[in-house]
Amino acid sequence: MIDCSSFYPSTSLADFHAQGHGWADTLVCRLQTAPLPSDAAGSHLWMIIALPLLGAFICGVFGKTLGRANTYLVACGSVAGSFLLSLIILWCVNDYRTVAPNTYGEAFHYAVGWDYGVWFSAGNFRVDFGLMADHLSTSMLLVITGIGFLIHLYSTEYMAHDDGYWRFFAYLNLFVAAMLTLVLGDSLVLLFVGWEGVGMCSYLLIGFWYEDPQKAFAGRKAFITNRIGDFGFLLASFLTVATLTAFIAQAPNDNFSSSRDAAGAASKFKQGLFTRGPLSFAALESFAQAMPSGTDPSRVTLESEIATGPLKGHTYGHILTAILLLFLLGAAGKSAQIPLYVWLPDAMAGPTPVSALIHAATMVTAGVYLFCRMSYLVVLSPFAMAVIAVIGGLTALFAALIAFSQEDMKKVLAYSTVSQLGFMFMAVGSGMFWAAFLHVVTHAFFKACLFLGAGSVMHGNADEGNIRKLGGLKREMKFTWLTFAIATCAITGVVPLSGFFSKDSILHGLHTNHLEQYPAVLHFVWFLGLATAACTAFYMTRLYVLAFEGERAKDARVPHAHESGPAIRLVLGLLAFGSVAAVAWGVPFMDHPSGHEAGVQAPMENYLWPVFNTARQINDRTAFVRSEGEHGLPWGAWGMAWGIALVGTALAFFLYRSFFPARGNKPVPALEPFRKLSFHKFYVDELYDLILIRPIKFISFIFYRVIDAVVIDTIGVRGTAWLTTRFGAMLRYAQSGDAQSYAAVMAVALVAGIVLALWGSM
Amino acid sequence: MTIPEFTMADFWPVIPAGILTAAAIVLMISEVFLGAAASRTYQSLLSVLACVLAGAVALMNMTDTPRAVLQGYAVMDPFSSFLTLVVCVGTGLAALLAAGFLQHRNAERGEFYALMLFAAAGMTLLGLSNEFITLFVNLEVLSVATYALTAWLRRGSRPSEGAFKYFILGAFAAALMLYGAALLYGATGTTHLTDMAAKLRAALAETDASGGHPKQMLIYAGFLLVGAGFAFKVAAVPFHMWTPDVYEGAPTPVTALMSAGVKAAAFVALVRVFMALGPAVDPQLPFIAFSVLALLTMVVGNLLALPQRNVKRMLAYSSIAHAGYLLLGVAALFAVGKDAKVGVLSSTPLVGISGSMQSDVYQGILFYLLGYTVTAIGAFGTIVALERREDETKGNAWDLDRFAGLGSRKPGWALAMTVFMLSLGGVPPTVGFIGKVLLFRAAVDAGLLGLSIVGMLASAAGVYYYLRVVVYMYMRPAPEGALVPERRWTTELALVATAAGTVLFGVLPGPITALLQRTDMLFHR
Amino acid sequence: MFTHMVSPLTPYLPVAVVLGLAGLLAVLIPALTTRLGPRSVNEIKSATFECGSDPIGSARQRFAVKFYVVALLFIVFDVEAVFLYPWAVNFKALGWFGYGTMVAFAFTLVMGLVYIWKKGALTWES
Repeated sequence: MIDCSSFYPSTSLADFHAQGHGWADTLVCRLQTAPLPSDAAGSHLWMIIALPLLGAFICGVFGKTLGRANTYLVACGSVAGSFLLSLIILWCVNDYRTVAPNTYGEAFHYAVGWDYGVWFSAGNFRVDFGLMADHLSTSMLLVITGIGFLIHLYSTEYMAHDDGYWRFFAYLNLFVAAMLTLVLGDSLVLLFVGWEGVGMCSYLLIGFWYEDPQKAFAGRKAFITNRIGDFGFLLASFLTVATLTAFIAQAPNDNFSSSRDAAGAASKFKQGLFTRGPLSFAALESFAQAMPSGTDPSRVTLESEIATGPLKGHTYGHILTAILLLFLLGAAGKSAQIPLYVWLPDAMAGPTPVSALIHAATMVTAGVYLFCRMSYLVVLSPFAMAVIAVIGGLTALFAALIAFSQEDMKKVLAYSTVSQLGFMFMAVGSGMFWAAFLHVVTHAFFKACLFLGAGSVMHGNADEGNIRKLGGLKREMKFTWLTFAIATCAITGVVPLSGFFSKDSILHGLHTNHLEQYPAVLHFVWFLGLATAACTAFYMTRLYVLAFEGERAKDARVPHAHESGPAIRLVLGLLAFGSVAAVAWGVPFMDHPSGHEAGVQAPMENYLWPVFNTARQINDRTAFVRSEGEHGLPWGAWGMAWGIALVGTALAFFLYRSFFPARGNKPVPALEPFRKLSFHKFYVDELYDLILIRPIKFISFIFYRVIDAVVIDTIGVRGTAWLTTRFGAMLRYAQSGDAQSYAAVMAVALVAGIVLALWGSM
Repeated sequence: MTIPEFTMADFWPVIPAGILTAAAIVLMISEVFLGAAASRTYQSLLSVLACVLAGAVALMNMTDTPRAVLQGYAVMDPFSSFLTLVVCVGTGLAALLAAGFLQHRNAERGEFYALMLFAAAGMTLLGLSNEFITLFVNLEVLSVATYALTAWLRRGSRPSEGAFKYFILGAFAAALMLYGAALLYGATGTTHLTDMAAKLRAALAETDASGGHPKQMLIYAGFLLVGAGFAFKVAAVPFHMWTPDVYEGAPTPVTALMSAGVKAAAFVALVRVFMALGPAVDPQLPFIAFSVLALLTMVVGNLLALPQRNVKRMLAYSSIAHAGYLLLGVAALFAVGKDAKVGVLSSTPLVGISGSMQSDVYQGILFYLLGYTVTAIGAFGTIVALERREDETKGNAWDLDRFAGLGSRKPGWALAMTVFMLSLGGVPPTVGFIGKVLLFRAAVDAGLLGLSIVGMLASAAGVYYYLRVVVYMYMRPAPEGALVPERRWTTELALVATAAGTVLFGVLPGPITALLQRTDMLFHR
Repeated sequence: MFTHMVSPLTPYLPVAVVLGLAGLLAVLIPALTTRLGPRSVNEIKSATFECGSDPIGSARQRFAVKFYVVALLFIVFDVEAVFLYPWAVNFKALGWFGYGTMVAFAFTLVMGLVYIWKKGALTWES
């Protein structure tokens, strides 16, 4: 590594060269020197959010008057501006002056951030309005604004014939602003604001064509399912506040003594908690650092019971597990995991760019982002980790099985998204946060490319999305075919493409990591992962083969498909390029900077190292996750993963290119029950309807008819209202309009007062 | 003979009133040189400018050290300075509303604005008067100006009827107050509030040969009479009867000014007088008196507003109800603690008021006044925008039907009106909600639990008639042939400003509450 | 021996006396004038006031409102002039401060005068 510390600003270029540095070093150091100091960058973080927000305002209020071209310009321009700003922030975060001055002090010294002051406070509890960009959020920023910009660009062509274009772009810009808030917020509260904001925009966009009741219903389903998750999120936040408050009251100074003087550290922590609020990530990180495992009479540990507050009597460890499981509920809602995944496939009712941006690339990864952001809390609870991994694994396999038989192009991709999100949760559960995030990034590229490709197909085939009625598009839509094929290879896990490395680093992590207390869990999840990888290869190939290979279906809606216009092609090309190029993040070729572990690491792991360092340190102390590090590159595992992918692909090719066509596309009786089960999504929607929705409807019917209508409405509300109105009407008679009587009332009141006073003072 | 030494420090608090008066004189004189057809838009703008200047000076005064000025005839403290600010905000907005209103009726004259500004000057001076004669003179300055303004439009019987009732009853109330002040003067020999408190104590302690307290009756009667005078001005039940008739008869911008400015000034003066003199007498007396007034005002105001279909009249009753909430705050100032013999509706033992709580109550009262001023002026402003001169004499000019379908006819106005109605009802995220929270919290802290619960119930009932307007605007179709009122930029500017203020202060009350969070809000010596 | 009791009303005795005398005179003087004075009744003399409005007849008589306006203005300016008197007496002692105050006062007054003048309140014919 080159030491840039002497490069800027103390010494001149000549001195720098005199120290034995060459021009190459100068260039590297120049690249590592951000164009503006990080506090200046931090204090302008708000602009990243404000730009799309302003765009949303302009498009929403003036869009109709401005006309199409101007609306496109505003919408795309604002996101592009955010993208440029994000690049600058990326530069600042990677500044070699790692201990950059910011408002976070000890915690997150590597982040660029700014505290804009108190947002609201009540007693000791307070929440600041603070934005923060570290390596994790910067990567998300680039994904959101970069891919977001491409999808805006794509939409200009895709929505060219829709009259509601201004509404569409306003929502889309609003979504980008909300997502950026989610990512930039430096506290759970601000994150939640973004969380709710993206949920609302998702609802608005799913039901964008609200004239169709089915689409409006899909929007409602998404919204209500997410509400259930939000309920978990809120409960978790409340528990967090209660836990931290109890911890401050209870923890002796020894808890903070690991690195520096105990009393000073303790007061600093308490001060920090007071000044930035218990829901800020800085406070949560210090809390996690100060919380040891095991039993230790001189400290508060995970085993100690909470002494004060509403949680009195429970141990910190249990409460922490409860918090994480509640967050898991929230994340399962947003990131479509079991049991709340049902909304995402229906969400495909929205315009395709929306599916690509919100329901594939960005919003649905919010749950993964949440856990990565709180990695230091996650590693404190092995039970929660096990649950997260199992939920992820089951979701991944389950969704992949459903994707086998779906016939709508977007439905297949939706279940594929659910399945890939399951992969990310597996990674979180095994403590491989960087791998989860690597998959977020690569998945954003290839899944956006796939969705937009599907959109392009629908655009060129008169909105036909059923793969049975497509076919043979390879010749008719050459460009779409090429990009779709590349993205399919990427998600399938063909070697030189990005999906392989991200997926494989997850599987590798599942293989080598073990939860100390639940040794079998990750192994089980590993098998789930391998099975899912095979399934992924199968259903993606099936999708590809049915849509692009072979002959054009006889019952196609239009005889000939037409290739999409330049904007769509440009975006598809860039995204396909991205899904190849993202491989640069995933190939493990860098040395570990600390010499901490043997072997090599991927650039993404290296890049996110400071973010997950705290989690790593905590795990070194608690040893909840044990890693059997392998030396050298995992050739064996790679070979196996590749083999699995090839087998899945080959099987699908065989079945759908030669086997089924040879049988005249008639179903195989032996497989028919499974196909039916898969096609009907394992009847989960029907199951939910039976065990949840119907009982609730029945109970609410009772409440509505009996309790609400009769008791509350008629007797309570109407009765009270009737009585008060009668009373008011009676009082009106006193208001005769006669000035003498008014004066008389005053006089009487006065006399009564005097009498009362005299009587009282006697 | 000694000549008083005055420095600039003595004059800072009266400078806003000076600015307002000067502008009023300019308006009055310039008016007589204008032809009948000349454009008079400058008049409202000049009034706004004067209010802005005066408000700026008041804002500067907020940070100054509290002290007695002008030989103790007046005081300078954040309490009165903030009132000046509120009055300036209210008058400025009302002047903006008046421009369109008067032009539409061909009644725009400089005297109207001059009277408004004179009234405003009276209000600001009322807030800082610390002596009974000064106080009375200022009260009359603002009253006479508002009497005249009420009768400004001489069309139909309503304006004259309203003005006449206001004048007669106002004179009656002023006489009561003057009589009360005279009795107190008789008992103490001074009119200065600060001196009076000490002398009252001595006078109460005086005994005659038979062991009785000869001046006790005199003093209590004086207190009650002064209180009755104020109760009239703030429209507390049962001294409220004039309000609906007068509010309905007066030109709507004047109604807006009366409901906001006059009430605020009277409240500030009321608090000043009773906080100065109250400690001298048995604290039970003011506590009970204000508790009863608050109870009656909150309940009756809301009940009377319920059946109203006339929106302007409904707002008049609503203004009575709001005075009730403020009186609750005043009552909290006199909460006596555990040794209370009588506590109106207090189910829990009273905690009594302490120093820090007192500043909370002041904060609550002032914030509420500001919030109510902005909201009420906005609500009346919407009426200004909607009403047409042709309907004035018919009496249905302000019927709820006028609001039917406004949501589709004039979405901007309907949205603004919705904001005002929500704020008046105390629904977040509006300034009305924050005001109620601050006020009721302070009252509950002082132990007025029962009264606060009644207040909250009453305001919950109030939401009904506020929301009814919203329901009419959005859920009733516009009547056949409903005329679309013409737009006037001054009116719309005022609407935008008030609506924005209502929401903004509701979302970010921080700067205002921080400004009001002071221990030395009210100057005592 | 009897103790000397002071009634609380004692200080008001002179008031009572004055009241008594006033009542007495109110009865006495009209009685004496009707008895003693020579009477020559004619229409003009039997009118209550020898100017102004007729006391008997319809109360809704029309007459020039200017009469009242001028009277009002007279009273206003007359009373304001009274304020000038104490200042004039203490002119030296009050010095420039008094002078300034009075200028402000007089200025306001003059402004009022200008206003009513231009308004035409002082012109009788119109």
